Amino acid sequence: MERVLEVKGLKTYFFREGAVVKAVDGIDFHVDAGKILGIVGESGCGKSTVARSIIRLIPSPPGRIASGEILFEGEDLLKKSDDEMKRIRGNKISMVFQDPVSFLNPVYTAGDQIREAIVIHQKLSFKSAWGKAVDLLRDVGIPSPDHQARSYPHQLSGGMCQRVMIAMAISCNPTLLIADEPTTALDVTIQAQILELLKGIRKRRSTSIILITHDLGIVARFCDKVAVMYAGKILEMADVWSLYKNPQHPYTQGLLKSLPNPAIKQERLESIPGQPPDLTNLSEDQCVYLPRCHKAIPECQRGQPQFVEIEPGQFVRCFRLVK
Amino acid sequence: MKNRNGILVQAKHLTKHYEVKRWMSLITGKNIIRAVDGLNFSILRGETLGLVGESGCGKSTTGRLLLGLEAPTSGEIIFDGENILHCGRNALRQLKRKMQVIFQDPFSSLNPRMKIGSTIEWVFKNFDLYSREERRRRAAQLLEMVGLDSKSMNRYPHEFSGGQRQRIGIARALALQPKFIVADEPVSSLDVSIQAQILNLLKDLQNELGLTYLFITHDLRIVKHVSDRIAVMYLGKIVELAKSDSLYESPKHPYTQKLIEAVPFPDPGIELNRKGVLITGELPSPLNPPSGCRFRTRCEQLDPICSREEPLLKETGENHFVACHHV
Repeated sequence: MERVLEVKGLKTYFFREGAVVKAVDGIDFHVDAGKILGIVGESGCGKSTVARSIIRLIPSPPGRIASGEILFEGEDLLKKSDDEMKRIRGNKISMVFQDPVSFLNPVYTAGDQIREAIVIHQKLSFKSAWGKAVDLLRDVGIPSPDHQARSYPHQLSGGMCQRVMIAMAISCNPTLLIADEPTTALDVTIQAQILELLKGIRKRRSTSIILITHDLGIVARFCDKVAVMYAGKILEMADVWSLYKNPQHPYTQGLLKSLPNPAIKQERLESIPGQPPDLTNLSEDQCVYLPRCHKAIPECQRGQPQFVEIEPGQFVRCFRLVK
Repeated sequence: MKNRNGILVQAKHLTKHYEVKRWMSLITGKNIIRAVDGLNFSILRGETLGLVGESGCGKSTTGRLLLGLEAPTSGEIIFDGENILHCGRNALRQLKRKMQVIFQDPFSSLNPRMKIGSTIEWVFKNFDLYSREERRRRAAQLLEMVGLDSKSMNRYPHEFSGGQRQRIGIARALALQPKFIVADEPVSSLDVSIQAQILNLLKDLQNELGLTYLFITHDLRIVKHVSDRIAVMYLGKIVELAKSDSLYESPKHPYTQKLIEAVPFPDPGIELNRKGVLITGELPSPLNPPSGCRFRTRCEQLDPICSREEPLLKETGENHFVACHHV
């Protein structure tokens, strides 16, 4: 299958007051054409930094992409000039952010903001771009799009603003759509509508999607493949079925057990002891998950485990599983 | 273990309307927000009643009303046999010792300039309880009870993580040995692995101390796990109230059905078999709720009666109450 995006050994560091925050520390993954990859993890694990690294939106200083390759349609994005990146961003790769209300510009109408994206990337007149913006709003399920295109963000609800953002993101028919916690700020009924909308876009336009979320339920509903991140590293990556039915890494197992599943009767949840580590003083010579791991073996203190394929398509970073 | 004898908290026709500022009402033409509109329910001793709903449905207001933090527009609240709206100031103050609250945001609910030891000691000071040494000893004991080191007494809130702060909030709520705790979205701002720790702690404390909880949340997965009974709210009304198992196995109200359908379960097997019937539209404004049944604008089984008459909460099965004309 064709690979739309391939990330190899990506390291994104932030340098702050003499300390180095290794927000993303050597991750490898790829996204196949027309597939949805979920990246899950707790807050501060570096999942949003991955997204921003791909479209090169890391503020520098303090941040820097220290090493790695990001191959998009065969070309390394890290070698592109800023001008070339501008033509890719919002055009072939676009992004949907978590907080739609604050992302949209409050002094422009929804239609204006979508039109801007179209005019920049496609050779269209203002007038025909407006028509296209209205079509896009209809596409993302906004009732009476003619009228709503003239609304300002404060006149729209959170769910509607997210639809406007999605309309903007798909305005140039991107090959890759990165959605960073697109439904976290929304109610569960609206969340379901937005996820259905994204699924429909994937189907109609065969866009590849990277969905970044902290919710393992959303991943189960929506994604084909999933990568579990912890402290800047991917600890496990597999297709959704294998990961949920047969999780291999102790962290993945712990996460799945600590989530209440309404389908099963549970008296107690099995929680993971301790808390996520501080990324500034991570020790290089032991596994990042060791302090919270209940299955540790002596080897875990002797260095970082490698990211290896234990079953076809299932990658794990754990000493216990490497023979 | 839980001993169930009788009702601890009872709400009768509980209503809270907020008046909107004049200039706002000039724009909208309406001036009353019906945040909570005629709730009838009771909470049994030692049980957890879950209160779920989307944002703006009035679930937090209900919690605040029960605690006496806001005066209802009409209705009655009976706590432990006493009507909290008609007892005197002093009696109310004593009653409030028996009810406590755990807030959602562990960052803004602790005073950043106060050591956490003093934060907890203040609760005793407020009621002139114990000597200074005794207050300190009890504060240390409470912190240990919620799984924190008693040495952390001398530290400030910013030195703790979100999960630890939520534990401090729980310790403070337990200080006066309350009977009833309103937990208003206590784990919504925490990470999954920490959420489970806090939910387990709340359950352990309930078993140990015989607490009664009103657990307010928007997360249907959590509410199923923690609650004995669940009340589903929509635009200021309870639309369904039932034992948590029967609510999930056979939801009767169309809103509950769709709500459960909308929640993604962490299980691809279940997700694959979803029928995919989604709730359409958005929550109407509580300023101008639909006439008759409030859910009718998003409901598929619409009859003329739905817009004419407001459905009342009726018992349809054992301990299963539904407010819908079709059930």
